[in-house]
Amino acid sequence: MSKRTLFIIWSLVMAVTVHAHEPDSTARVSEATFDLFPVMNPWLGTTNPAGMRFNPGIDIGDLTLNHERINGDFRRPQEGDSLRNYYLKTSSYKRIQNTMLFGSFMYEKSYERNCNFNLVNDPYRHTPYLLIDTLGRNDLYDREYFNMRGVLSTPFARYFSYGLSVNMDVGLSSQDRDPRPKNKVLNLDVAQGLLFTTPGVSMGVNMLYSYYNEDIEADIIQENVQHAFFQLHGFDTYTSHVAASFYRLYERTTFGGEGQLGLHSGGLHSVFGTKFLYMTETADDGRKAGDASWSYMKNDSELQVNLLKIFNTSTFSHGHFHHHLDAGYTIRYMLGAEFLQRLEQVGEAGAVDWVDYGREEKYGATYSDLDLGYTFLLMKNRYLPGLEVNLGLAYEESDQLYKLPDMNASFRNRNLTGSAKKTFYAGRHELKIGAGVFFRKNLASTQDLARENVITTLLVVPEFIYNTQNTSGKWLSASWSVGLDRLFRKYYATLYLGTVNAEDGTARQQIKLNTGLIF
Amino acid sequence: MAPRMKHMVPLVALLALLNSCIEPDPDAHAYSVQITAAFDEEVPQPFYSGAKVVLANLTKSYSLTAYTNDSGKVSFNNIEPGFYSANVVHSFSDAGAIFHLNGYALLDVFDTMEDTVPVVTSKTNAWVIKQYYYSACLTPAGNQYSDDQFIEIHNNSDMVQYVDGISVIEHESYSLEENYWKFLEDTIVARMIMTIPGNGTDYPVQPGESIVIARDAINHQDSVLGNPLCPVNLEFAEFEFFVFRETGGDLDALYADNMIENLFTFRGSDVVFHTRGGSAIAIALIPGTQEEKQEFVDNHQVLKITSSDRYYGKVPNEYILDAVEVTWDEDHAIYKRFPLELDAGYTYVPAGARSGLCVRRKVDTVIEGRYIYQDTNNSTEDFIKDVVPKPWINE
Repeated sequence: MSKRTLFIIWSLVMAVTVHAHEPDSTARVSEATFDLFPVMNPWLGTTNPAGMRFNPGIDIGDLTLNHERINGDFRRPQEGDSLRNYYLKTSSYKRIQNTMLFGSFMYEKSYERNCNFNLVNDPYRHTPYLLIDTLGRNDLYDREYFNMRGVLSTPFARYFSYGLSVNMDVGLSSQDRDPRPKNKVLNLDVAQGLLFTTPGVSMGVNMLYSYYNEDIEADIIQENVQHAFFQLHGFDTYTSHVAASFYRLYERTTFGGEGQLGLHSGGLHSVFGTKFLYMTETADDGRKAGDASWSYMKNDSELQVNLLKIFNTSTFSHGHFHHHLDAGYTIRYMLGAEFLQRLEQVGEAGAVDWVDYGREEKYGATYSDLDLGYTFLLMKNRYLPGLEVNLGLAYEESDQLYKLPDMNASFRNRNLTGSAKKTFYAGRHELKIGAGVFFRKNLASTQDLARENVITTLLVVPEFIYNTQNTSGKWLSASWSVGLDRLFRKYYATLYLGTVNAEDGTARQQIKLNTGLIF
Repeated sequence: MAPRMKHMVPLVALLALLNSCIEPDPDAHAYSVQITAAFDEEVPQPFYSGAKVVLANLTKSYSLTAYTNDSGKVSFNNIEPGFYSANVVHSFSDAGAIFHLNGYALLDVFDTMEDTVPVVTSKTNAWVIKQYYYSACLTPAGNQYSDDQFIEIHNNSDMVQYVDGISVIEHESYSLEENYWKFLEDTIVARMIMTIPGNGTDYPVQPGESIVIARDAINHQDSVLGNPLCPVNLEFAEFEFFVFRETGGDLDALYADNMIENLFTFRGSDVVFHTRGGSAIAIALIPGTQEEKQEFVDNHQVLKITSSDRYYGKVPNEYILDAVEVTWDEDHAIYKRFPLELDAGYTYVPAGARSGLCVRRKVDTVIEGRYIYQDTNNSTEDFIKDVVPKPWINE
């Protein structure tokens, strides 16, 4: 960790501590109070930052230190067999007069061990255009990331509120074995929204903009050695290039918007919404012959995506009871095109460069999800839950195709989840015990490949098996907290143990430890 | 329309509009490619059928194979747009003689198309380049070690042959751009010509045996002089490329006879083949005695206009016994240097430079222990890529 990083973290901790000297709310709260915000304000389930005006009017913040460990052989082919994740996070809801504010900062460090066939930071962000190697050297992916988020909602005129949300992720990840990529990642999300509110009905609209940039420099440190870099194009199609280094740049721009209609009557708060996103992502390679060079940029591919989401989030409250329902249907269309370019001699001096011959649409995909979630809360007091029961039903569909050679794969899965958490109060102490189960049932699956090659063996078939296996999972959690008199409201510690088992006998375990302070 | 339905209209219209933005059904183009193999007049019409045509996508590392009909035509359907090579390979025997037919052409497929691939009938010789190791290897310290490069020449005939006077030729172009010399008909241009010594009967080679010409004829696996990670021991190579300089530099090995230097345009301290695959090589028999060969080379040189006073050697195709169009990779295969009658294809080491691997000719048949290597004058067909170099070993 650099000195600059340490300084930033120290500054934030100090800022939190100073802030914590003067708590401005006397309400009894716990770490579970953060989870109550979306229940008490269904607008937090939208992307409209102006919707934060319906937040409960308490100031609350936390500072947490988290550790997560994941191990096991039930994993996707480009995932490591273990993950160690450490992060420090602080977040805070605050109200200044009628303006609602939220801010958070997170520093995250993770080590993903024994990951193979991957040179991009996140190979599972729904793009077929990946950069990989096929060496299987059990790399360590070392990631260091920062996340900053700020949201405000402020009223203006009589019935209106304006909201602004900015989220930024910056990070660097790298591998430790040749070919070793350095991935510099930047993600910026901006949303601006308006909200029109009357006592019974609210209407909102907001725009969304995102920019994602991943700059990859993959080097072979061992001198005089070259390896093959594979640029995947969907299923088992690829181009490859043997070199001592390789550059790749992903740039994704997203535009979109969301409209909401909110109803408020008695104890019912309900929000209906529709979100639409259009994103386009390009992958460009800097390569010529033996080494990477941005002087010779080859356009690799372009991916266009439409996302449509229709949702409702509702809460019905009466007395100490909350009934919260989340329902959503998301469909994502993807269309991928490859650029046809050839390294040719240009000019008289023997100079060569990539010459463009066209763009060819080859890849298509449709992903859809139907999610239903129900939460029942029996409250101890306004901000402290006593009993929480969650039930979930999800149906997911995935259809992918590639043309020439024609290949396709599709599957349908049904997911069921259920969990319960009970909190016991004894004076200043609280003990929360939770348990949950998860079942995934594959309803249908087909995969038609055109041939067998190294990519189908290493990636395509194992990924399909991962996605179509029946799985079940269970978890247990225990959390203890104690009220504090000075500086902070509460100290807490949580242990979470989870496991997922697949029908082929593979399994994956997860342990999470987190400890924190509420202020 | 009921009032409630009216409220639904904008929502339905919005959904329809949004849904229409991207259709996840790619508008992929598929073309038909018809290739006509244009055989020499000397090829009898009955032999037009059955020629193997390989259409290789140069970008995506896959190929499709079909065979010509009675008219010498073949059709490929559902071809995605892109850059292809079409390789025609055929052989037939007639009146007791075996004929090898080869054709090669580059095709840019961006529409349904018909094209003709010229097919030449080539002769085969007693001598073939059996193995060519140019990629070099790594030392334990991670440095490049290329002193172990070698060429193996095999007697593919059923008679004793004499290797005396056979010249090794390195083509002028490294395949980084269009062959500058393609305007010269029936001639290849060399940056290096070195000849095996002997007066015609000094170096007999038995049928099915081979000789090795090493860059340095030493035991390269020796940890002092060589590199313990080297795949070959060339201590008993028959010949070596020795470059004499007053200041020394090149190692003159104990057992191997030195090649005679006829032309070395970029004369350095040793012969070094391009480790990434830039050095396409040929073996040739220039007529005459060693002195006459030298005289021929001296009198057949050409100046490259774009270079500064560099002279290269011209060798007629008719003197070439065998040629191997080695290149960097598929991207560079478009810069072909040898004409079809010498090598209708190309080959390379996909593992790249310093991989310690080489290209080796496929075994065609074994007759009473005598290995006969495939020689269709098409190195795409004839060579195996990425093999561990094994000089003198037949397999």
